[in-house]
Amino acid sequence: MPIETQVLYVAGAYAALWLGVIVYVVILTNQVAKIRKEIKLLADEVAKKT
Amino acid sequence: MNAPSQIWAIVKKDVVMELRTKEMVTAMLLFSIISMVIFSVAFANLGKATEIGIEIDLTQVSGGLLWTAFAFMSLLGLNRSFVHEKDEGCLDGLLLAPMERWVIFFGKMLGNLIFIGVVEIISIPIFTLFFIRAAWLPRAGWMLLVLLLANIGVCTLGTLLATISVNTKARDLLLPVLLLPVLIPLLIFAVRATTTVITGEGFDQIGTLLSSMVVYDVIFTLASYALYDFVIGE
Amino acid sequence: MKTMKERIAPILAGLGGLCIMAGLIGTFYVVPMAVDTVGDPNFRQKIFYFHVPVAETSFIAFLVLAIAGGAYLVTNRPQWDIIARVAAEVGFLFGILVMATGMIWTRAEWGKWWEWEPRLTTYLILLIFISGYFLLRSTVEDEHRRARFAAVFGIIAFLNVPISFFASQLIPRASVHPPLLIFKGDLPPSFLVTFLIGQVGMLCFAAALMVARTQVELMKQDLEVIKQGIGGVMRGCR
Repeated sequence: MPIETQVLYVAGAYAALWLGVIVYVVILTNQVAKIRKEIKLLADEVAKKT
Repeated sequence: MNAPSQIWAIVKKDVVMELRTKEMVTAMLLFSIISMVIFSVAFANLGKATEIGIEIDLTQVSGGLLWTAFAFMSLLGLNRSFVHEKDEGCLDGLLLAPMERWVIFFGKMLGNLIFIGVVEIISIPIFTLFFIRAAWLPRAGWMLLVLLLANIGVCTLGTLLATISVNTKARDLLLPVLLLPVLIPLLIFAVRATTTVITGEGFDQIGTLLSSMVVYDVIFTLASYALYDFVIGE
Repeated sequence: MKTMKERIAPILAGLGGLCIMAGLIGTFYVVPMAVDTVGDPNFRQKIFYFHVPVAETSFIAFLVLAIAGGAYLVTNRPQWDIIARVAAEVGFLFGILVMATGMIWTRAEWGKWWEWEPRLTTYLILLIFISGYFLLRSTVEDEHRRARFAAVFGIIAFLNVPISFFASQLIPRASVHPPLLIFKGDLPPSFLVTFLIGQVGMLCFAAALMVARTQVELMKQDLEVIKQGIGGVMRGCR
């Protein structure tokens, strides 16, 4: 198989690898953001009532 | 009562109940036979035309087909034996009785072994009639051994995982998802052993296959026995 | 200022990242180009340098799952259940990546996307196990029961992996996959070092993901506790 195609495959595999990881990290970051928002909401509620 | 008689009591209860209604075994047997009819449709292209119809020779894939049918048939039996108990409160009754948990485990497991074994022993001659052109009767003893070893694996893991699945929201839906992946190695061994017994080819492999099944059974019977306490009861 | 605990995940990630970068540079610039049986340059063999670390990491994650499950059964402390669940997630992620990179390699090397051969089959089974694990968890509401059932299933599934591997070798075919334990001596030193650096990097990175994910889980739990507490306070204020 010509070397250019091989390079393409290796690049493809590597891209797939990091795509997966990035997706996971993005989801994780999203969750953290949601939690931060909820904390802020709760803090505001408490501040209002007291 | 000592442990063996307790185990026997549980087995007897299941068998007597089943003898009265015969629902479960009938359903399992019907499932087995219906699968074979579907096989005849599915593999019709492989058949040879004769004067009255087609003759289908599935000797080379006999192991695979038999165990596909048996795997799903066992699921029926395992599910039924536990869903019934849970619904009727029988499981709680067993837990209240003064016996060790593992006694319940072995009692249920042996009961299932009997039912599944009976259905298999009836199904195999029928399958042979339908699809096998090789004369494998002299090796019937080996077949029984293969059945026994495979069924032990199916029943120990099946009892453990059925106890789990029956206690969840999904109930009997979950058992296939949990049990089938875990049985894959055993099924690989059983399929190869069965095909070897039926075709008679590659018979030197049978030693490895049978001992692998024994190893599998030992590991998972021990594991199931050890872990059963954690899944039964609160 | 961030506490030590909060720093672990970024540190691990950084360390992992560095190792992976080093491994990468090693793979492409230091290690000599492998040569085909016909003498042509075999560039696609480079996939091997990150495919295998990912595979081993996923396997170790699965091991962590089983051990954490056992620990939960023995101690009954919920932290172990969280670790088990996080290990399952990371193991699943890396397992999918193994399949993806593996299939790409198979395609590059042999022209087909899939073959029923021992390692691919075993990894498929592993993925099915972890999916079943998550399905099981989603069907039980009571926390303690869920943790117990999950732990039992995790242990059974883990015991099954070596046996599955052995069983799938019985499927008769010429193996498409390169020898698995290649680092048992076949590789010249430069290969080996690069490979090991990549391996260590991948493990650190996976550990970082796990730690971060665990912290998110714990944060969620704390949040729940706070919400319940505040609910009480609010009701009292009315």
